[in-house]
Amino acid sequence: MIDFKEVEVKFGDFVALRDINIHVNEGDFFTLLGPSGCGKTTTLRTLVGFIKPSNGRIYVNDIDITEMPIEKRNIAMVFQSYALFPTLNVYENIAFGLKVNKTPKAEIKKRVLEIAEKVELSKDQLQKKVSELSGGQQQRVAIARALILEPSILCLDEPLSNLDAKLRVQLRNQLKELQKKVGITTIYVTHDQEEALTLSDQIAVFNAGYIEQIGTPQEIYHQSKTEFVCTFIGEINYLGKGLIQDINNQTGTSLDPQKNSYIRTERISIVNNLTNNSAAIFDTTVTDIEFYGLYVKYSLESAHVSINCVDMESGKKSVNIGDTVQISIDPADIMQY
Amino acid sequence: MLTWLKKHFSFSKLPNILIVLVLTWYILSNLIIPNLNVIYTTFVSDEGTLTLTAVNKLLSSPRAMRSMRNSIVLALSLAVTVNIVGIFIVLATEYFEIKGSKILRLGFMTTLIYGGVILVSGYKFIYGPDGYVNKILLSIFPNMNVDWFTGYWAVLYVMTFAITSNHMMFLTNAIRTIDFQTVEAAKNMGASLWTILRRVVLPVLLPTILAVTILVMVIGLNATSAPLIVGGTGFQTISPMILSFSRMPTARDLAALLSLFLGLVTVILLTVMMQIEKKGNYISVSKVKTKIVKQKINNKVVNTIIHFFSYMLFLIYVLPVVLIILFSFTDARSIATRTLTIESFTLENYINLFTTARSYRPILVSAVYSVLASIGVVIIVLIAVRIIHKYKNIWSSIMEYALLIPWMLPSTMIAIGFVITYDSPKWYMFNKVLSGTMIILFLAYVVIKIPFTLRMTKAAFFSIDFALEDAAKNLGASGFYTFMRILLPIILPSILAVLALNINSLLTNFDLSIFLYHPIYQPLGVYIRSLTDMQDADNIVLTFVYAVIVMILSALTLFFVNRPKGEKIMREF
Repeated sequence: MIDFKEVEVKFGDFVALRDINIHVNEGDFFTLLGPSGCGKTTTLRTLVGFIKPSNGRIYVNDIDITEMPIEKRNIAMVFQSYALFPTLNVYENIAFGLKVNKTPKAEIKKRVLEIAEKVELSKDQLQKKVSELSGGQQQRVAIARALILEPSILCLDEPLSNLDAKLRVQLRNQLKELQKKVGITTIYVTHDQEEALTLSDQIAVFNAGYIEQIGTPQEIYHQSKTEFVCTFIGEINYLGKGLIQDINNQTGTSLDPQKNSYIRTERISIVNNLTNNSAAIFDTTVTDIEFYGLYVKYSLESAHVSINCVDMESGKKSVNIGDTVQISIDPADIMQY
Repeated sequence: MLTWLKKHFSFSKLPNILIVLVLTWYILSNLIIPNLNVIYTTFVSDEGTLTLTAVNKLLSSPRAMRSMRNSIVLALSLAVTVNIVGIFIVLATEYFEIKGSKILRLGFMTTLIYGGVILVSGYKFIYGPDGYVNKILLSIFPNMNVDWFTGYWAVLYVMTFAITSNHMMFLTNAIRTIDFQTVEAAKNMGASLWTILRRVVLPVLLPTILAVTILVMVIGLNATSAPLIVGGTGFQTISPMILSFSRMPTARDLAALLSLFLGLVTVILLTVMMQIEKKGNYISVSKVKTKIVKQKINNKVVNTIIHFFSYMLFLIYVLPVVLIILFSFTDARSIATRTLTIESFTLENYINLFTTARSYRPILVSAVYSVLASIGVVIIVLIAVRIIHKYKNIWSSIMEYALLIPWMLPSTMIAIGFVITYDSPKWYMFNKVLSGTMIILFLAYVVIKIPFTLRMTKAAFFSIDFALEDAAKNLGASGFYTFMRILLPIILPSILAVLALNINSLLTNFDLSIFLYHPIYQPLGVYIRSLTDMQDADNIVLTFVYAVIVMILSALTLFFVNRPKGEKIMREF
């Protein structure tokens, strides 16, 4: 469906994107993930046509769209700020693209009502000013405005970033449902790893204008190919050389102590009943406990260990600051770079 | 070349290229060439050789030298007097707890709705030979000279009160942005009211005070109406001198040199002001800013003195306005005798104004000029801002700076530039002579309003979310469609506010009009000035009726732009 072939984008001497190769399957929810300034929005804007690549080609269904004008690409975009036109009401905002295309009025009305129903906007809301809508409703107007032109691809540039945490989760789910319902290929930009992991079929992790890894959320999380991906996604512990040697000694594994070693916080557990014989066991002192509601995070320390681990909250307080607890680390969970 | 053209040129770009060409022509012919011509006329002889004749003429002309000295003295004196009065009235209305401060503020703000030639006429009516003040003084000193309100002191007095409007706008805003928690912190550490004022409040206001001082000096240097009307023969400044030189064919190089001098000093002063604005603004580091609370003066004697001076100043500000309004409704006899009786009140003056061609013609002329010029300037600026907004490159920057030229130059120099450039056919003005035509004043009005309109429109344009344009483009809209349907409606409230402010300020324009007006179509400012020369009752009453109408229009304009959407405009204004 979408293919980026060795795409490079330069702004003057600054290389914003280098050697970008992406393949997106039809109907996929594909996320561009990375920290601020890594090039994810630039990639999106290059696909939509706002930015011309300095090198490389972009194909949609094997058609080269690299030089194609924006309006001919049939790619719709939802902007971070939604970019709703403040002087037009909701109906006029949604109908804008059709009006530009000189679609007959009756046809415009029919299609606006259809799309409004799909994104769950009522008839009353269509007559409102966009400033009178809530953040969630505004987002739906932006999506309706984008979808009404029946684009082949929908691009979303951090559409949830302006919303509060609770609404973000709610709209995230609605977004995914809508995408499934419409079945449109979607390219989604975010710096929020949780959003990327929960929404995506595929994720491309960006770093400094370069793609570090493309894969399913599970692959990205559990089999991070690079140190950057490993440390960027999820909560991670760095394991020192001494600790790696101790693990090797205890379990007979041959992990390389010279490499940078990491383990995810949830892969470390406080030992109650030892069941995994292949894991290394350490005595540690609890230095801090943070309560998150759903889970509890422990800060633990010993001679070679300064580590965090999480445990599901059971409601029974069994561990206190200053207690000595045993933790187990399975060498199979350690990622080395 | 052909390949380059093929790569970069398409017919769809033709309208854009034409617009850029027209704008370039406009900037060159209206903003750059006339002003460069002032320098050329001053230093290049008719034979085309470099000459210092104008400089020599200037040095050997006692009148011209005296006018330069007078202008400098006036600018420096105003820097002192306007600050004393201006800072006092702002503190009295915004910082100290003074009884009736709301009414006082209204009084001090009257100069926002009437100024220039109208204000000077009002002051002349009160302090002039037959004025109210003389009436009182004569009863005490029957043999006194009634012609005392003339010369340097009269000009200084009138202008001091006329231009505190800058303090009322800028210093009031500055004092309102002071974080009150800094005052409370100082109080908490044991500082007295006066120590807080001296060490905490005034230092924060200092950059604004300095910037306003420079603005005051620029206005003082360029003073036209006050020296013309109350300066008498003893105190003439540069602008009136340029006016008289520009009317003598043999002294036009001298007029050009004097206007160049004014321009240079103005450029230097405004550059200093920009530096102060850039460096000197204190940005509050407070996380939760608290609104300033008025400070009570506990010392009873000081409190009484400050109240006394506040109300004295209130009288000085309000008296001309009240008398202008009252006498605009009285018959000629009342005006002549300066007496008010119930029987003398009439609506006749207003009826006459709207029914006598001689009376309404100047208003009509000014209204037509102001409206057309204001619309013209908005169109030019909208096109320019669109280009500046869309293409951020060296050429758009050069264009922006070129359009800001009139901000740096006094009206007098701009007028002289037009006069000496377009008194003969020029190919870049289609070989038309503009001097003596109606169009020259229209062009000059447009020019002087470009910088303010540009700054306001640019601010409005750049506050629009960039994504809106991208969104429209993504939905298939052309650049023109996006501009007309999306961008223009968003900035329309700001544009309308700027339009109203421009029309309002051009309505009584004098400084520029006096150089360029068409003798048959005299604009209001020039006409009022001519009425002040002949101080008969009919002329005075006509001046007052004009003044009242202008005050109403100004007040309405300020009310309109001072609503929430227009607040930003007012702050910049």
